[in-house]
Amino acid sequence: MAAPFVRTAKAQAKPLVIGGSVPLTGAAAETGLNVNNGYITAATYLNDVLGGVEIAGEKYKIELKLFDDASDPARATTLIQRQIDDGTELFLGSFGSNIVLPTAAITERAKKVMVQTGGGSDAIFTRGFKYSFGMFPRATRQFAAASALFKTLKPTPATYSVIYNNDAFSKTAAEGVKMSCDAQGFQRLDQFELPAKVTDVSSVLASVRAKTPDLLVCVVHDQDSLLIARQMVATNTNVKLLFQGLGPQLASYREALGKYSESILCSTYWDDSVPYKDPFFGSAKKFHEYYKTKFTRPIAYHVSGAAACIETYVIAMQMAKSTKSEAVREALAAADFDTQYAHIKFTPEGDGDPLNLGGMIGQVQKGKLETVFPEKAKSADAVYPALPWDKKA
Amino acid sequence: MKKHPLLVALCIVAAAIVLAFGPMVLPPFYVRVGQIMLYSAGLGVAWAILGGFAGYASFGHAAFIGVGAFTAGLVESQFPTLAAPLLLLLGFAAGAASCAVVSLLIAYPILRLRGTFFAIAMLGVSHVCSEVTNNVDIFQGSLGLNFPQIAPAGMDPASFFYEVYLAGATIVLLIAWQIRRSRFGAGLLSIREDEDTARMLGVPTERYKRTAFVISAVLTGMMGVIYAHSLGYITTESVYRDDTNLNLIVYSLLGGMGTLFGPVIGAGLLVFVTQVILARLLDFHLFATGLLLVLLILVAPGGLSGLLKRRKTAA
Repeated sequence: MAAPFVRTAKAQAKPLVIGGSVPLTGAAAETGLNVNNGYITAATYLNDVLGGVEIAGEKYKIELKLFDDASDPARATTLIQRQIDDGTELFLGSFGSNIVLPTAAITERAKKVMVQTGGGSDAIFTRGFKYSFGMFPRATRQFAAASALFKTLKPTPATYSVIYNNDAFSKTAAEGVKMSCDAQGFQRLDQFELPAKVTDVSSVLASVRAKTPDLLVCVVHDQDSLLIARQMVATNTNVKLLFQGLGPQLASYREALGKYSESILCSTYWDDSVPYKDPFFGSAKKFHEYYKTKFTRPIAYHVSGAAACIETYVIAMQMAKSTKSEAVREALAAADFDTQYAHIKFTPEGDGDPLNLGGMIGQVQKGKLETVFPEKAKSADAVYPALPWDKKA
Repeated sequence: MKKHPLLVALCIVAAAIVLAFGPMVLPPFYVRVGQIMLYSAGLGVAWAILGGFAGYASFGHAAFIGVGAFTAGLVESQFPTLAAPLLLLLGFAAGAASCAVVSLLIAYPILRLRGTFFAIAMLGVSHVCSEVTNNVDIFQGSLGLNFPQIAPAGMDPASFFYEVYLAGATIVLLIAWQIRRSRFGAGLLSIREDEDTARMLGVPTERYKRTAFVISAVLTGMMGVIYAHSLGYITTESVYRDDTNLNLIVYSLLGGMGTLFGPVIGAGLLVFVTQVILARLLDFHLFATGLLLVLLILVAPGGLSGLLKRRKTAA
């Protein structure tokens, strides 16, 4: 019994410092807390449960040096600069593209790596940065998975229309829908911008009926998705497939629509049923279980994404057999492995591969949400075309 | 003892020249802290032209940071082939012009309000500008706006922007100093002390207030243009910030309300405390900052310059 103990004591784990800033206060604090919790969950699991990680024959313990940037880009830049001056080699990202981009510009200039799950703006990935990696595809490619699925449907849909709210989230998403669908060769018939708060979409649906696209894509908020679907039923506005970015994931949405929710598609970023094998936690379910022992705050996909940032770092360092920024950068650029969050693979510009990290596509089938894309994660085939509303009743 | 005006101007310029050597001797972290200090000082002095001299404390000057920054970005994006120095000048011109127009348009109704009513109305202006920038497509506030890299090749962007901030803050300070010692400045002070009496005595209060408002807005907008360039990418949330609105008042409160150098001292102190001393306190830096501010205001209600004056009088 004594021998392993002696060996452990001799081979004391070295600290592996990972720096960064997170918005724990200010406008981005709500999601910032999730990101921070994700970082902490992964670090404590690797340190406390696994006793550290082995890289190139040496044992390391993760030492997080994260500071509150108060959702302020200027403050975030000074915090990151200070850590670079202190010799930190590896960085985790903040939340919000307006913070991630200025901080990534600093780490890039210092040739230090940053892995982040909080910035999806195209601007981050079109500046020629070589040391920044994102857990999402750039904003305009985030619909790539859905449009790739549309292309596989038989008979192949030809036309689409898009509905979005007049707010930052929806507009960015709508840009992505248009770029991805146009790139796949679908013909755009209409685009409808709804106000931020919607009470009636009957005039928009009248226009949809007038042209009847094969696909109607709604990138609106949960409650607006429900309103649109209900008014589509009420006005018998039929399309071959209805995609609603947010809404159908929620049991309350499916219960509210009942049988009418059948065949509606939606995005699903992460839940603990994703089938990926994780080299540390084992699975998403086990990750979730461990998270619940550390935090009472309900889990969100940002938690999983943030934890995957640290896991990705560790796997990349194990592949590179080094903790030095340059070697880790090269290993990250070649990343092609599973974590509890997703299959990690980056584009040459550093954003997430649109098909692997662009989220999954779910479809309501027999009242349950089934994953229909990507192939690796799917639990059922996509149903297409959907039945008209009056046949669903 | 009366200070010779030329001596004050020379002191300001000499201090700026000394500070210009900062990036050569300071570690990169302190160069960035210096950037924020100079940015905050420039904004604080620009705010004080209206809030300190005329007594019209605005709680919404971030509106002009945003208007200046977004106008500059949108105009500059139309001239992608322009050389970097010309691009920055174009940005300044566009940012300044837009702030002048916006401030002129709102000056008449908003300057009829006084005290808290004016402060709250300005907060409303800031939020309206933020919403418009966010929701009207052409402004791209929600999607974000890219700024081209304008630092000369081979020069560290942090050092470059430090120098640009320094130039901006110095110009703002010199303009404020010139206003303070002019007839116009005396008129603003009389408005602060008693606006009705000033008007009765023949001070053109409406014109003076309007002019101070526009100058303050234009200078704030120009600092916003530099800020946007130094970040490289801005969204509505980067520039229309309520904490900036609050900080601009705090700088003057800390340094000395109505004084020329008060906002400079206040900005320097607050930035040093929040960015250097308390930056590492993950969980309670905001609490510590708040506590420190309360203590400072209790000990020195007239700001640090008021405290110094009190000590001098007592001696």
